[in-house]
Amino acid sequence: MKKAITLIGAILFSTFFFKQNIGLNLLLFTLVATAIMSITNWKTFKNKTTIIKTVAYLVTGITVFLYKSELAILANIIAFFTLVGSISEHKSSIYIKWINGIYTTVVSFFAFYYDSLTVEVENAKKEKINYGYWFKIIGIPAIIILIFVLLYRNANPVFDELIAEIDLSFINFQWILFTGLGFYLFHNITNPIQIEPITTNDLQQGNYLDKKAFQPISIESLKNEKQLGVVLMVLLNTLILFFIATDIVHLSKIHSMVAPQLSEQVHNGVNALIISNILAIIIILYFFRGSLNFFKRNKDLKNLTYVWIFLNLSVVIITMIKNVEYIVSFGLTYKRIGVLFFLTATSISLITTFLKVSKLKNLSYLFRKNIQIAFVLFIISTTLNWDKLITEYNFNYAEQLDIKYLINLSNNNTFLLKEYADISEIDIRNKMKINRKYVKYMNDLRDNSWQEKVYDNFKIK
Amino acid sequence: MNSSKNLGATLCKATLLATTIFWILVYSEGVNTNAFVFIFPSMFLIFIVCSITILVTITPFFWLAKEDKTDKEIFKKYFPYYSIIAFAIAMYFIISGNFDKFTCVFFTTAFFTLMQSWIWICKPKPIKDK
Repeated sequence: MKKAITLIGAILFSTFFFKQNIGLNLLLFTLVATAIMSITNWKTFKNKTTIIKTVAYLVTGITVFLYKSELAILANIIAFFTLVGSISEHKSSIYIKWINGIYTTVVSFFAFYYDSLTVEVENAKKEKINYGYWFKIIGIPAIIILIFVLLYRNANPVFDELIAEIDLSFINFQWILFTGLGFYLFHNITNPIQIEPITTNDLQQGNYLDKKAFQPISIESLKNEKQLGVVLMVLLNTLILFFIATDIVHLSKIHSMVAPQLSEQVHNGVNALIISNILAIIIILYFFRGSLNFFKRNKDLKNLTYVWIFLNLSVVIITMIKNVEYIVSFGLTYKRIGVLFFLTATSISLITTFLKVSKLKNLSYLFRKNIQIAFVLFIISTTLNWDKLITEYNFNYAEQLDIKYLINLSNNNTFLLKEYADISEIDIRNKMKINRKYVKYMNDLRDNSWQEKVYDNFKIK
Repeated sequence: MNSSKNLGATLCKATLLATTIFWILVYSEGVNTNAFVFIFPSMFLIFIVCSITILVTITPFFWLAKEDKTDKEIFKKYFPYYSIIAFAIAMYFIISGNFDKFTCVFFTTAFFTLMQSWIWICKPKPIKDK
């Protein structure tokens, strides 16, 4: 049964991808892979984590069909590895899922083959392949179907015409090899494996700090360490307060700035923010690495840490305001959206650091949560048609329009650009560039085979 | 650890396997009978490439492993990471080479040959029925 499903999957894999570009085929592969994995690992598919990963994988498949972009394809591949890793072990951390997912997809066949060799040696006997069984399962039905097809062709001219129209010329040696690759892939993903001991270690590692795991330290040393922490935190809080005050003053002058000045300000601000946040988290992790978490008189240090996290969040918000101001004046670009995503991720990592300190969580928790949130943000970000969004926003709201930047974006904004060029008065050279982009994209869409079709194919007449 | 005993035979088998995969992939689009003469000379070059790759990338795991570790333990410990890294390197060159035919054929051959070589090196000896 499993082998028959794998074979069907392999043939579909070849039909979808053999000598084809990406398009509808990736969505169909997503559906087929999900169906096959769920049939062969039904028990695992019943748990919530795997269902969520499946939904994420399906969403990325749909996104590739709606607006094909490199980012969407990358998200689909990452979601695929995550799902495969989730089937291997759904309770593991997301990064362990990725490792297990890649390992399963790439070499599950070899790992199973090696295991079978060792088992054979231990049992000292080889299980022979039952050729008779396979002949009965595949050979006999194939022969009978062939005989009936020949009979029906002679009996019915319409049926004969229909059969004659089936074009199997695409099946050649290369196609068979490609199907072999598909078989290898489906065989691997239907036989999930785990890397040991990291999977077991990860499962054993909880999210909370264990008091017993730390070596006992004298109260005096703890007091000294706490004192150092308090002094450092007071100084850092004072410094960051001063920085925020000057930044707010600076923020009031932002409207009078010219583009290069504002650009430099935003980029410098973001760079400084990256370093200061990394340092902030390292300092917090240093003080709350061990016994100080359980020290009864650590409240003042904890409160100062919370204040520092809050003030760092304020710096993030100020930088966000600067970036938004920059976007309002000079339009949306990928870089500016990237800055917004980075700032969101930074805010989340500061919040998880706050949770780590307040709820006595360990370092693994911080890694797990931050990477998990980054993954969710990444998947959500790929569901948006950014090129269209950037173009639409810049046409309607940007005070200064950079049309060259919009022309150089992917084909996802082609229809919008064409519409704009037709109704607006723009430079003739830019108009020609837009028309060229439009004609090329239309030709590409018309040349698409059914496997390569994207949503835009259904928009054109 | 009996991997050193398998090494000579593994290099020969890896050469045969790599030659087979390589030329099957090369000829998959159509057979050019004139090029058949290159198959046997190519084995020499393939043998050198296989030997260097296996000796440099696989055998150090066995030489550096502790004496008490069995081949099976070494396989279980290092093979997963080795395979992931080998796959990543192969994909990197295939994608950066813009799916050029020779690059695809070379790295596909190298990847499957290396994975099978691990199994040959770590393959346990059969126990005869008493």
